[in-house]
Amino acid sequence: MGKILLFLLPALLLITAGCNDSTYPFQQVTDEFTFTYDLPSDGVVDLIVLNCYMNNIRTLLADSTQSSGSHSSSWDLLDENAVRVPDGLYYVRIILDNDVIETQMYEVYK
Amino acid sequence: MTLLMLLLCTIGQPYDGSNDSFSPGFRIGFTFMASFPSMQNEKDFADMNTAAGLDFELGSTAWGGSVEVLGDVSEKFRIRGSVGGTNFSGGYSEGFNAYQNIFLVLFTLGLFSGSGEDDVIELNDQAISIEAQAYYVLTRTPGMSISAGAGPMYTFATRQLDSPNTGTSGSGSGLGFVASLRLDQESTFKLGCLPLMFGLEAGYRMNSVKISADDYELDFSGPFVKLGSYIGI
Repeated sequence: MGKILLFLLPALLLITAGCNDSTYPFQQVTDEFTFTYDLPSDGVVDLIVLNCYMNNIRTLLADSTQSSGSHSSSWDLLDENAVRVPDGLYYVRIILDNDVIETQMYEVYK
Repeated sequence: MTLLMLLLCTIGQPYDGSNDSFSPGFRIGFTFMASFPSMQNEKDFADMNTAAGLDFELGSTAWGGSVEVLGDVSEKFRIRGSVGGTNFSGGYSEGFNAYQNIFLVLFTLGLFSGSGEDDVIELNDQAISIEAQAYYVLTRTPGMSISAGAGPMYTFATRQLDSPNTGTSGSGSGLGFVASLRLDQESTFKLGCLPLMFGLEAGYRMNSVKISADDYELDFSGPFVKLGSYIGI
């Protein structure tokens, strides 16, 4: 048993040495999810979702007046036509008074 | 240039110089190209990734090569036809897990190491271009010529974006235009019994391709430098 472990452990380490998804600076999502964002001041907020061709595929929030502080919203992975988006990279842009204040990236897959 | 001279010394044989006058003919050659494309959309895309917290690195040079046929149709005119490929890439990568790597090296007594980079996001823009160009020979001396030319090009391009669990691709094609100045060193050496020529070309290409359905433009427009070797056929 000890000998088997001696061979298995290096093999396992070799396989997993490059697998550190937890450190990716983006979230991997398969279903509707909620995200949070912070507003530095009161203002008019827009939340839009862009695909990897930088096209606006969904407006989550438009011209909404919000106060400064932490807020949350969700995306059901549907586009404007209520069709689930294809697998890929998507970007949620938080726009305050017509300025992009934050961009969040998500890897969407089934 | 050093490489060119080395190549000349290795495979070239001194030409006897008995035929310095112009004679029409065709040559086939292979070229290596470096271009500096605009790719404004890809730059914006890289900026968007950077804004999202990724250290996204985008190249500034597109590398490629081509197979060309070069023909001297008269003493003053030259034509060229080519099929070539170009690659432009970028991405985001991470280092391997340091702790696991330490254990891996210890357990395998240093035989294995997970050193290197893990490509998390990979962006590859590839183009295959068909070019036809006509040149006017500005000056021709025995063994050397300088010519200026222009012509149309047609490009088929693809964009591939890979992430750990997804792959997104798009493709399209478009017409472009290329103008250049070329310097050819010819008739000085022979490769066996075949005349050998080296060409250096620099110019500008206007070459933008729309990726279908998504209205996304891959702009390969920009200056380029090309180095090639040709043999007579």
